[in-house]
Amino acid sequence: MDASLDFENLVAEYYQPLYRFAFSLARDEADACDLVQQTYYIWAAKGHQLRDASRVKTWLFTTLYREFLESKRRGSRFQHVELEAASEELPAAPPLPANRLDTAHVVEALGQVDETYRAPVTLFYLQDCSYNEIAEILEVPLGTVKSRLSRGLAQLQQLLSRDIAAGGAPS
Amino acid sequence: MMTREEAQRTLLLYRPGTSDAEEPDIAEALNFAKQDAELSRWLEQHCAQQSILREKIRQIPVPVGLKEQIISERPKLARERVTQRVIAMALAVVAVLFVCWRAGLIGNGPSADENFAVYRTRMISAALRGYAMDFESSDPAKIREYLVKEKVAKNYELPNGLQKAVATGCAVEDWDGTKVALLCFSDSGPQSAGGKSDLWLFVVDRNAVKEAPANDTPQFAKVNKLITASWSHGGKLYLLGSFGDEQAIRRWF
Repeated sequence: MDASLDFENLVAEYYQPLYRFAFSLARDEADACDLVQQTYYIWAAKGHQLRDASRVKTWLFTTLYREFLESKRRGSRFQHVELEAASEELPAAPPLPANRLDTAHVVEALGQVDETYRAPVTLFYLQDCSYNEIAEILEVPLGTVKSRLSRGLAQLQQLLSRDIAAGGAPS
Repeated sequence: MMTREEAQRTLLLYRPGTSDAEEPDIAEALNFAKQDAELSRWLEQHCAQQSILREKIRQIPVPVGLKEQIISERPKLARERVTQRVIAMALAVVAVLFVCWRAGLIGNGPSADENFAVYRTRMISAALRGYAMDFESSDPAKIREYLVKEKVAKNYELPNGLQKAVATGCAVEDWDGTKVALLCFSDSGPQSAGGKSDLWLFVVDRNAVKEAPANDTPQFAKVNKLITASWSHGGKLYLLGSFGDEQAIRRWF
């Protein structure tokens, strides 16, 4: 097996983006840690089946996302917040004043994006995943990814705009 | 031909500095923006915003020690695979192990990777992450009967305090091929069978876990969100997990 697929190398390279992805899904530090650990546990058990080292990132993110969905199905422990009226088509909102955004507010707003859209949006920003990679990780068609991204980004923008308008984000 | 609205909507998905510009629809929208001053200004702001959002999301703080925790709890399987990469060395190790085994230097106990700390973390993780309740009942006798039928943790003994807890059911977990009984209770009072559990007792053959507590004096430790108590008794290893602090878990003894 490729040396780059060594367990410790993989932990060093991906544990941080995996945690951030997990945190955006679970919205809880302990749950996110748990998801990341579980992902690496599965890698230890099944990762040797992966022959193509270039696909390891997709494999890890897909596994984490599947674990999240499975945990949700079994225990419904993870929070799920619906944005009101999220289902209708959202307009392209004007850009936000970028200098008024901070990490806490962005994370909070991201957490409020409808769960269906949150995963692609996080992958979009976190890893610069291509649309094809996001489709592969989430196991949905490319068109669905683009549609979910459009809606998710519009929701995020709307939430941040609302936050800034309400004086929530510090300047 | 794209309209400005269509181009703007398409460009919402555009991230500067990535391969997005190679997507045909985005490339078309970018070309459109070059010829449309208003859209061009919007795109400039949009790109600045995308960069900021990307930066902020990448600044989500990662808990200190997570990397070390993952590596320290690296499952046995991963190490086995590393070993397999060096076949000659593995053969030599096997040969040496065989000689040692014949000499009685190696027992049949679990490997170092199967130690108690890893067991405790993995079981608590199972409790927190959700599990399929195999048998739902508030009747401790029926739960015991089910576990006997499943040939797991026969003759387990509950501490006095825990005998008064409200049972919700049980499940059978796996620890490296050994069955682990998971008895579920509700700390928050009586409720229907199968109701939400917030107190968990894992029981396994003590020999299946290396470095397990030596006696029946409980050892307390915080694991993830739970406080845990661990002890050995009658050839079994017990692991109790609940929310709260050490004081809270002590009342179950």
